[in-house]
Amino acid sequence: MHVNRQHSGPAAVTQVRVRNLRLSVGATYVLLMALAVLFVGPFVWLLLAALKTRDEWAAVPTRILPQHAQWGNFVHALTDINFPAYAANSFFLSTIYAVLITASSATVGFGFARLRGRGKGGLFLVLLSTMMLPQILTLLPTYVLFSRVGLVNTYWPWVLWGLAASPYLVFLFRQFFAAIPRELEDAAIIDGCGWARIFLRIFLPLSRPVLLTSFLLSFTWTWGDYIAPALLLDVDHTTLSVAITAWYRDPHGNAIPTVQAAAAALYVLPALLIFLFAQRYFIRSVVASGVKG
Amino acid sequence: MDGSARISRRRLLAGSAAVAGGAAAGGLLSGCDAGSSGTSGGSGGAEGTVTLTVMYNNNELTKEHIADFEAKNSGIKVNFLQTDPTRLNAMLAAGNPPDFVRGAAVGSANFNARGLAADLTPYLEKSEVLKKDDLLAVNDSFRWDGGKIGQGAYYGIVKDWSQDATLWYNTQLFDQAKVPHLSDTEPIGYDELLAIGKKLTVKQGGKTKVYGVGLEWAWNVYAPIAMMILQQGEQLYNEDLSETDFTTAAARRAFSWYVDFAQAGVGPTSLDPLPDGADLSTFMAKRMAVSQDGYWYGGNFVKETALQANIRMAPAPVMGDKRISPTYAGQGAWIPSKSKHKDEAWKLMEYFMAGPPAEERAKSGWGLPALKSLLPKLPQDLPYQKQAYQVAQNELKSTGALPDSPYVTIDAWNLGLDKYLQRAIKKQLTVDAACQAITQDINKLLKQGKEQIG
Repeated sequence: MHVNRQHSGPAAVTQVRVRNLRLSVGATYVLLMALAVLFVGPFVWLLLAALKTRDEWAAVPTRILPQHAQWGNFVHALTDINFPAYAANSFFLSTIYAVLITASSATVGFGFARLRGRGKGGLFLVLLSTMMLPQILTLLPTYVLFSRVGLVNTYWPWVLWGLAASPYLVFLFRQFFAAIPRELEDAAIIDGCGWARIFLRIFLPLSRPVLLTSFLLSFTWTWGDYIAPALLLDVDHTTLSVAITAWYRDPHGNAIPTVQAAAAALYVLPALLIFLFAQRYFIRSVVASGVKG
Repeated sequence: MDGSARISRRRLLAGSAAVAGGAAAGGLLSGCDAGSSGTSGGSGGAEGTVTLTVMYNNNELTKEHIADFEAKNSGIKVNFLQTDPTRLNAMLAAGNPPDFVRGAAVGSANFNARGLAADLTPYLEKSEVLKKDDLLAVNDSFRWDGGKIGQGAYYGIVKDWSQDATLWYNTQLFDQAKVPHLSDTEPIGYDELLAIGKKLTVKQGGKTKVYGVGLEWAWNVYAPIAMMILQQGEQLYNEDLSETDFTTAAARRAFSWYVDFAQAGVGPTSLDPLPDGADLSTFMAKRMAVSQDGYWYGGNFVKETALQANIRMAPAPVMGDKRISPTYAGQGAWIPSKSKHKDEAWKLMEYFMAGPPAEERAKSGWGLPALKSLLPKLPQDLPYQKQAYQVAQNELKSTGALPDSPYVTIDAWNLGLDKYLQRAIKKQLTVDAACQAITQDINKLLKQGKEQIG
């Protein structure tokens, strides 16, 4: 008995531990699945709304599934407005902004992480404090400024914003660059490398995850932005976000929610695909920089 | 890595700026120009061509209308902007407003008193197309004499309008609830409307299957409440429009009716809104028995053949002895006083308010025209259109203007009323306390407005 107890004791404990581990893993999966449903739910709802008739959309009790899928809503979404042209405008603006702001923020982040200079700490604090300023506050002055210099109804504001660097992305890059061992930089300096070459040849190649994250974040900011294009661009040159919000209407000006839902589903797709494609880089950069979005 | 490749910090910064600037100016320049002059009303394109910046709704002033207007006015090009109050405010703040702007007659006193709109009276006096004596009384809400609306200079022209308090109802839902149909000529009282609304409402599983009455709460609560006060023979403002007393018996009764309506669960409110914020889809799905929407609503049913047999229009309800059936808005257009191309903007005004688009609108039943000469063009081909036409004609006898002070906006009224309605509906405040609070809040705004405008 005693021997048996000695033999069965650790085995029983192990079994209990394994059972507890399984339960804990199971609970984690259940929680994750519940969260996934919570997050995916609105998108699924959007897709279902896009496949309904207007009557089904307004029906009470709520109809979850459409009786016959209304694929025509997607055709209307693509043809009632010049969808491809607005998508191209959105893509162009988002890309140009994302490329420029990634380049400018990386440069500034490198400066803050690696270069020495008087007042650098204070300047970094000022930069970070601008993150606290709600963008909406600067909306009217920004419009007035761009209007005075004749940049309204052009894409130049996005170029200028791109060149100006983003405090959040500067912080992201600074954290990432600061974590790169100083020995690499010292070796490059001993080899006769200047700061530009160190930045371009050593730091940037090591920063692919954070570069991609910066591009992704800034691309999706612009892709999803409504206010700036609504304020600064005219009807023919505006973006998909403005067009979808304002222009799916019947001749009497009533919104057509099912077609709007179809257009919104199409609108979300590029950002979703890019994120799915690049998510591991995104996670890696967040881990490496210690910055959570 | 040789020593010559070393770059100082200063050179690095200068180099980065040069690269970025070069990239922007070189490769991107051609792609970045959205193709507009970027200045409102600036001359663009061919020499002598004026670019008119127009802010309107594209379902009302369509691409076809713009092409037709440009073809008829070879020296004018239109740069179209979709209506956007934020952008309009930004443009006004920048001193560079559009040349032609969508706006409602009711509520225009604020813009007019601030000198933002141009006086159109000299243009009206000279025009061969838009004549003063052809304007219906609804245009008077765009008039301002420095102290009162309804008289003095014209600061805008109405595109179309409706007796917005008139009702549309579904006879099938009335029959199912065994409620007699509404009269075509005699208005129903508001209390009776609430009573039949309760009978018409159908609840199922804790949800509303059929709403009894829809008031388009999300759009406007100021206008119907102001109308209820007028119908009881009271005024909302004092003589010089600088103070309000919302504690009068008439105001309290109107406010109280809204509270009772919401507590009875008869129709959508801001606490229980419709998913799309408007009655139409619910009314068309036969889930709303009465919708207070006005004549223009009929334009939605031209292709709804199945619904046409079951819908009718009824006069605006009354609260009190005085029958008044006003417009809540009277959408139209105005020309900013800082527009650089007022003459060209007036040409568009003539074209849009009295030309082919106006005739199209009148024939479609999309609201009542603002010109007497266009009234006979309203559609009467379908039985429901004929019935609505007769009700609307009868309502014209009760046309009245809603009060409008230059010192407070309609939006401020709507926000204030809705805020205190919600608290009263939830029984956090009594009706009397809510009315007292509204009086205080609005009087504060009126005082500020008076100080700003002078």
